[in-house]
Amino acid sequence: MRYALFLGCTVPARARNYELSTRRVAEAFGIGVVDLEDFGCCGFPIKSVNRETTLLMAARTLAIAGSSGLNICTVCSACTGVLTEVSRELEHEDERAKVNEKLKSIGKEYKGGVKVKHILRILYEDIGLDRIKNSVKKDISGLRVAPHYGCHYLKPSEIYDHFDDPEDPKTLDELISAISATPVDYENKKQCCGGGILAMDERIALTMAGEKIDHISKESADCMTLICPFCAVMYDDNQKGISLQAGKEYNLPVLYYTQLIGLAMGMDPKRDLGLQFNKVKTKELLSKIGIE
Amino acid sequence: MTDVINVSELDPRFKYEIAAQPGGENIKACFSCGTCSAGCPVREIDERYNPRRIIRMALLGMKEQVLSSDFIWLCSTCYTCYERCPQDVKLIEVMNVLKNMAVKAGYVPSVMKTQIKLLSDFGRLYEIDEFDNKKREKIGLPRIQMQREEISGIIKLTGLDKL
Amino acid sequence: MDQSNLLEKRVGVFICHCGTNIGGFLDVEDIEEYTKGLPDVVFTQRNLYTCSEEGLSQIKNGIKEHNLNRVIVASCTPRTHEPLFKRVCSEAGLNPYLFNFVNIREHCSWVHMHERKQATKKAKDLIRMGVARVRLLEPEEDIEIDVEPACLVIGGGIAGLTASTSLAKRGFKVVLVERDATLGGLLRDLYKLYPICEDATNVLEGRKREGESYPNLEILTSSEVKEIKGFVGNYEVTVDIQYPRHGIRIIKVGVIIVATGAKVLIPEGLYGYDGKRIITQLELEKRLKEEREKLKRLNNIVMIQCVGARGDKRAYCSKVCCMVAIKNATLISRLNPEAKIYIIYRDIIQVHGTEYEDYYREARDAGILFVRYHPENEPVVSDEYVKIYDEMLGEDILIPYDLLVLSTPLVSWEDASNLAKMLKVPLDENRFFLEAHVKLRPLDFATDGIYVCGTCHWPVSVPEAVSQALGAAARASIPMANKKVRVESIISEVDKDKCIACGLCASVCPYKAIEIKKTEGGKKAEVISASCKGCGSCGASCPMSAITMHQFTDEQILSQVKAVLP
Repeated sequence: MRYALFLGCTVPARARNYELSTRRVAEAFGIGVVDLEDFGCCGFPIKSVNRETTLLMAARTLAIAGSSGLNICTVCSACTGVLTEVSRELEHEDERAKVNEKLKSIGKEYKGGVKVKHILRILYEDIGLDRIKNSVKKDISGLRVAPHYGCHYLKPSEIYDHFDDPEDPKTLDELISAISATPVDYENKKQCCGGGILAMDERIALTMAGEKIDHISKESADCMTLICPFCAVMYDDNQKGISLQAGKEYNLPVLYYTQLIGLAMGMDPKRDLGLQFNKVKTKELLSKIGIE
Repeated sequence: MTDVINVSELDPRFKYEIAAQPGGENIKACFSCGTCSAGCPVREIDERYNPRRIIRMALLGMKEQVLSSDFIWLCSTCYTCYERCPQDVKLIEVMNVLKNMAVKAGYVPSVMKTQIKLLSDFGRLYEIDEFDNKKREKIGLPRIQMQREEISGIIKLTGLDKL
Repeated sequence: MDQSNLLEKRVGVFICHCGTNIGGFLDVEDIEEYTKGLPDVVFTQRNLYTCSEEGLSQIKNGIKEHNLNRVIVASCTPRTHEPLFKRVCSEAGLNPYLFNFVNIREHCSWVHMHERKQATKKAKDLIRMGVARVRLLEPEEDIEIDVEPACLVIGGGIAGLTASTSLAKRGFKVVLVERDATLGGLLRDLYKLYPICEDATNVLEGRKREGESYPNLEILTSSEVKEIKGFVGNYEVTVDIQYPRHGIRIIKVGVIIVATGAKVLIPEGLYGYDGKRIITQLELEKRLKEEREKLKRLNNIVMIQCVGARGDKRAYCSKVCCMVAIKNATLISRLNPEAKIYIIYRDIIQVHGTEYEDYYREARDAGILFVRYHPENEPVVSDEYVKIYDEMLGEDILIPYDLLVLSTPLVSWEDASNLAKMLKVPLDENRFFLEAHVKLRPLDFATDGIYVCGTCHWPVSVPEAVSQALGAAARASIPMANKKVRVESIISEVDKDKCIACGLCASVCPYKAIEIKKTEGGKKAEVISASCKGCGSCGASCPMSAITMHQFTDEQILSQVKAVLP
C-alpha cells in the first residue's frame, strides 16, 4: 500500500503535529507514504476568485501523482474536497483534454485514474477497525472524546461514494470506539467550524466555532478530535480568541485523530505525535491516561 | 418603510449568465423552499447571509447589488445546503460563480488579493523558508521545496496576476 | 311465502366479540347466558369476529344444524356487514328478511366503555328487543325491475364523449345530448394540453370520430333535456331538439350519466380585468391558438394565480390553474425566449407526480420566475405595473406588463340547479353536483341509476375527466348488463280498502315514490316500489293507517318498545 502524501499549504507550516503523527501512524500500519517534491497548493483557496485556476492547480497535483503512478493520501479535508472533485470531473475525456491543453504550458499532463483518499478514510477502509483494535497497546478507555467531522471530509457526498452519511456520520465515532475511547455526542455535532470565512468575517467565524466548543464542554468531554488543519486553526489556535469573544473560559484540548490513535498505540506524545505543539495544553489529558 | 424595486431597472439576463458558468447551471431550478437558509450555519449567526434571498436577488436580476455585496463572501462552503436542496441547485457552486463574477466585475476582497500574491510567490499559502525547514528537520520531518514556477505560471495563464 | 315458517319460531342469536371492541367492554358470556333464556331462542353462539370466514360458516352451520328460521347477529353497525350476513342466511337457505341486526358496539360497548356492568345490562336489553322484533318478521323477496338497456349521457364534452363511446363499445344503446351546436365543451377553446402539450383539437377530433363510428351511439347536438320521469331502469326523458329541425323527443333509458361540465369564471372587477390587456387563461388559450404572431412580440407577461378562488366568495381551489399557467407560460417562452414572464402565485400545489414536477422545473429552467404572495397582501395592478410584496426580499417589487393573465377557477353553470331538480340529485355549496359518497361511491349519485363525471362534479384536468368518465360508464353498465335491478322490499304498501286518497302521503314523500292513481275502486294511493326507500314518511302521515311499512310494521316496532319497558 503506497500513497503520495499530499500535505497542502496549512499542514507543513502550521500543523506539523498533524503531519508528524500521520507519518508515524502510517508507518506503524505499513501505509507507505511518498513525498513528491513538486506538490504545492491544491487550489482550494483560490476557487472563489477563479474556478478555472483551481481546476488547473488541482489537475497539476493529480498529474504529478499520476506520473509517479501513485494515488493520493490527503490530510486536509479541503484539499480532499477539491482534489476528489476535480479527479471526478477529469474522468471525462473531453474535460481532461481541455485541461491538458492548458497544462501543456507548464509542461504537465494528466492521464486520468488517480484516486484521492483522506488518511482517516484510509484507516477506516484500507486498514479496517479490526486491525486498529488490535493495534491498541495503551488503555485509554477512560477518555471521553468528542468527534468533529467537519464539512469537506463528507460533503458533497456524491463525490465520496457515500462511504459515510453526512446527515448521520459514523466513521470517526467508530474509529474512536475502536481504540477503546468513548465517542461523545453533543448538540449540533455536524456544525461547520467556520474556517472558510475566518478571513472574511472573524466575528462570525469565531462565534460558529465557539458554539461547538460550548456544546462539547457541556457534555464533560475530555477532548475533541478532528481531521482537518483548518478546523484545528479554529478550535485549537483560536480557542483563546473564542473564549475572549464569548466571555467564557474554555479549556478543551483539541487532538488530531492521528495523535489520538498514536497515544492508544503507545507512541511518544512529543517525539512521535507533536503534542507539545497543540495550543490548548494537553498535560491534564495525558495524565488522565497515565502519561506524565 | 420599504423600498420599491422596479423590475424594469434590473438585469433579466443575469440569471442566464450565471447558468452559463460551470457550476451555475441549476440556479433557475430554485423554487424558494428555504431548505438552504434553514440549515445554513452562517445565517444562524448573521441574517445578512441568507442563501435563499441571494438566489432570489440573482434570479430577479439585481446584478449590481449581488456582485458588489459583502454577503456573498460569507459562504463557509460547508455544503449543507448543497446536500439538502430538493432541486439540486448546487448552491455552493452557484455562490462560487457569483464570487467569480464579482471578481471579474472588479469586486475583489483584499484578503483574496493577498492570497493570490502568496500563491504566485511561493506556490503555497504559507512560505516555508530555511528557518521553517530547519524546524521541520529537528522533529524528523522532510524538507519542503517551494514550487512557485508552475503555479505562478497557472496564475498568469488565467490572468489572476492582473487583479 | 311459506306459512310453515310462521308457526314454530326457532331463533338463533350470534353474539360477536369483535376482538376487544365488544369483548373488552361487555361481559359477553353473561349476555349469552341471558339470551338463552329469551322466548323462542333455541341456539346461541359467541364469535370472535362474526364477519370472518369462521364466523360466517358458524352462522351457516347454526342455521342448518338447528333448523333456525330467524337469525340475529348482535355485533357492530348494520352499515358494515348487514348485506354480508343477509347473503349468508340466503346461502344457508333462510330468507334474508328473517334476519335482524342488533348493534351492541356503536350503540353500546363503544359509548359506554367505562361502565361495564350497566353496558352489559343494556346489551341484554337491546338483544331482548331484537328477539321481540325478529319473531314478528316475515319472509320477503327482493323486487326485480327490468332495466331498459339504454343510457342517456347529458353533456358532450370530453367526459360525456368518453363515457358514451365506452358504453357504445360494450354494445349498449347510448344517446348523447349536447345543448351546444358542436361537441367538445371546454376542449374546443383549448390550445394545447399539459403535460406533453398535445393538441387539444386533435384529442377532441379523435374522440368525436370514435363516437361517430358507433351506430348504437346517437348524438344529438343543439338539444336540451327538458324533463326526466321515472326511476332506475325506467327513465323517460324529454329532449328538446333545436337543429336541424325543431322537435321534441321522448327517450326511454335505464341509466343516466351527467357530464355537463363547467365554465371559466370571468373575473369582473378583479385586478382591472378588461378582456383586452388583462385577460383570463382561457382567453389566452384563444390567442395562443389564433394570434401567436402578436403574442410573440410581447416582452413582459405576468400571471396571477387564485383570482376569485380560495377566498371568502369561493373557498375552493380549482386544481387545474397551476398547471395551466405553467403550460401557457412555457408556450409563450417558446414563442419568444426573450420574454420576461412572471407567475405570481399563492401555492403551486397542484403540480403532483413526476411528469408535472418535471414540467414545473422546465418552466423554471426556461427562466420563468415565480413570485409568491400572501392573500393578506394581494398584488396591486396599475396601468403600468403589478406591485407585489416579495416575501423573500422583504420589499415591494414593481413588474411592468404588456399582458396580465388572471388564472380563475372553473365554476358551475348557473342552470345546474335546473338539471339537479329534474334528476332529483343534490348540489354542494358551490353548485357542483354532489356524489353519493366521496370515497366509496364517487361516481354515483345517491339516486340509483344516475352517475356523474367530469368538471360538473368538481374541477378536474382532461386525464382525470376521462378516468371518471370511463368509471361512470362502467358503473352505468352494471344495471344494463344485469338487465334487472334488485331493490330491497323494505317498502311501503297501501291497503286500498282503507285508503281515502287524501294525498298526504304523496305530498310528504321525498322520493316521489307514491302517487294517487285512478283504479277500479276509485282514486287510491299507489307505491312505486322501485323508487321507494322505506323511509316511513307516508306511513307516519296516513290518517287512516292504511299504509304498512314492510319490515317495520307497527306491530314489530311496538314489540320492541314493550320488550324494553319494565
